[in-house]
Amino acid sequence: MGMTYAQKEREIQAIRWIIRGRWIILFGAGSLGVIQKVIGASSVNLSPLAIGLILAVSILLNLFYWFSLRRGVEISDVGLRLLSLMQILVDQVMYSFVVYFSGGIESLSFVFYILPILSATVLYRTLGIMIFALVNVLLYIGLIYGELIGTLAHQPRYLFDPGIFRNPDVTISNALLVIATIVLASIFTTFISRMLRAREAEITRERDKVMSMLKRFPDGVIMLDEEFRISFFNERAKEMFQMQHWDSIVGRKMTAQIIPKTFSEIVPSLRQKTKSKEVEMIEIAMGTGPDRTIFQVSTTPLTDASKRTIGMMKVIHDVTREREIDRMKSEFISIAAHQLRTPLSAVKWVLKMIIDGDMGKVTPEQKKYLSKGYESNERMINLVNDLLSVSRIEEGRFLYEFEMVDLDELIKAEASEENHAFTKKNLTFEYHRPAKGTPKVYADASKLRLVIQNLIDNAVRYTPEGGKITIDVERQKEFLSVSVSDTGVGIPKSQQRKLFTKFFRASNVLKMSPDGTGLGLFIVRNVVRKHGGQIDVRSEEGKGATFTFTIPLKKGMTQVKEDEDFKKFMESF
Amino acid sequence: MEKKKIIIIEDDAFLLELSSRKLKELDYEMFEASDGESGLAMIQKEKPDLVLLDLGLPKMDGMEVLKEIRRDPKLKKTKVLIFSNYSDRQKVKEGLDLDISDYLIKAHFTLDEVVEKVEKLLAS
Repeated sequence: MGMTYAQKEREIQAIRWIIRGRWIILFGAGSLGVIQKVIGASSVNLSPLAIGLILAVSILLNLFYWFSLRRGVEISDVGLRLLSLMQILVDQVMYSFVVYFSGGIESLSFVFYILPILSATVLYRTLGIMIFALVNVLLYIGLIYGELIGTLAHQPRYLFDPGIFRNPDVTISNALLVIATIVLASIFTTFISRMLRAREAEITRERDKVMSMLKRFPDGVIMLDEEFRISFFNERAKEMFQMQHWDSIVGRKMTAQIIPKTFSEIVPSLRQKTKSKEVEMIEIAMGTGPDRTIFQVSTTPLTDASKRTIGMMKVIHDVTREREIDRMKSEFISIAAHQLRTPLSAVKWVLKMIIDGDMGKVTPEQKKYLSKGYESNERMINLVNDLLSVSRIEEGRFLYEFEMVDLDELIKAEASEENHAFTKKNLTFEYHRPAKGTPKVYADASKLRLVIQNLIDNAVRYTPEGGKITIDVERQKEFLSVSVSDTGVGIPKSQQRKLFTKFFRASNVLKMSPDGTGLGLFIVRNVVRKHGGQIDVRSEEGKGATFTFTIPLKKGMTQVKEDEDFKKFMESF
Repeated sequence: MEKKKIIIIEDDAFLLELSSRKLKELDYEMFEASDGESGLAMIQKEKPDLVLLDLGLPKMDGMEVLKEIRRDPKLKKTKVLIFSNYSDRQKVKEGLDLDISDYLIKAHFTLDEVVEKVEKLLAS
């Protein structure tokens, strides 16, 4: 049975920890030897040569282990298994040498035997640990027995004879103690091992739950580590890139070789790290004609418990159909709007000619009604303009031309255009400007005019006669804030959230003014956002409303760049 | 002085009639065409002082007609006023690049305002 990527990764990590631990032990044991030589020289007899040799071999072995893992998960299954085995078995043999050279039956170094057992806790299960304990016991018995029968020359620990070697009672008693220590330690560690595994299983279960969800996720999901090595690649992702025949993608690096040529344009986006800790999204269009596909790739940085970035998750969403429908919808609106304009022009012209008396004399009564008809027609023309603006916003063709704009001029011009409306409804108009003058803003003048016009229009429309409309311009740190307040009917609290969505009209104004389009504020918000600003509303039903929007004072805060990318993308149709 | 010639190319018969009627009240010699092809032929024959040009036209698109005018050395200097209901910035820019005198969106102007523009253009 082959090892899974995750298993391998886990085992490599465990071995790396053991190697690190071993460096500490080697350093500690080496120092201990030196210290003992210095302070205990009178009574303890240790061969510096033998201990030095064991230390040197151990250092070399540890280097070898480290080196074997240099290529991480690319190590073969057999190699990894062998390496795990060596972590314990070789240590047991080395410690047996230590025990032998430090006095065999007299040695106290048998305590070191606990260390390989501990290593086994992380690398093996109960049975493995017990087998290693058995091997350890056999090694020790072999050593003591060999010493006893003289196969191995006894290396006395002390310079005097403490009467332990070749004393049958003490030998049996000591050996039993050592064996019991090993066995009990191993039994104890099996419990620890089980606990560790139970905890791990719990985590794995959680992860598996998530993984099985991601596996069947309707979008493509790919997970990569910081070096773009693939750690997860779900079925949908394989399907999207026509890679169903691939079995072993996990563990490989995300490169152009992995993804079939047809989709090569998506590779850079799959190898892109996020600039922030937020989700980042990009759309990639590939192929032409009926093979054309548009994928939306979103990148989520993955972090561990200590908030360290450990990789990223790519979610690939096929938006081909959505984009096509969007395009068709916008195209339909655009064509319909242009077609509507022709008869609207005819009605406009004819009515105007009759009103002006070009077609013969009209009575004041007739003129009054014809004028009303003319105004209705004008509203229809404005509605068509709104529809066209919306379709352009959605198509990304609502092009912006930014320059330094004098907002003060703009507001004054708009206000004077509305002057007759103010008078007609007997509305008071107030305009408050910053004391030090209104700084210029980086904006598209025609679009900004649309914003101000819409906000004033709304204020006029929804404020009863005798009310008041106020415009406040305030200078903030990086923004200019413009508020348009009225004493009108207001917007019900529950509907304020939806206020800026397309075709939305609040319930109270629906009855008041049934001919509104519900497009104005949608356009306003889009324009303000495109400028890098924000728009908010504060309102209490029956008491009026205040719309406040901000426009950045400096260049570089607008979303032009993004717009250009989007534009390019749209043009590639 | 000879009467100034204006050609209107417009596919909507009613709009054509209305605008033509309005301009005839003034002292201009008016010609009418309802598609791009016959419009261009008429321009080549009459060499008008001003062309009022719609864009969405049958047989030959208004923008094509404009390109043909600009390509012909004899017609190159003809003043062209685009008079359309298309309002995309691209179309406006394309027109301006082809040296049009103005770009009017039909639904946004009354005929009086159009006549005003025409008179101003022909006076200059």
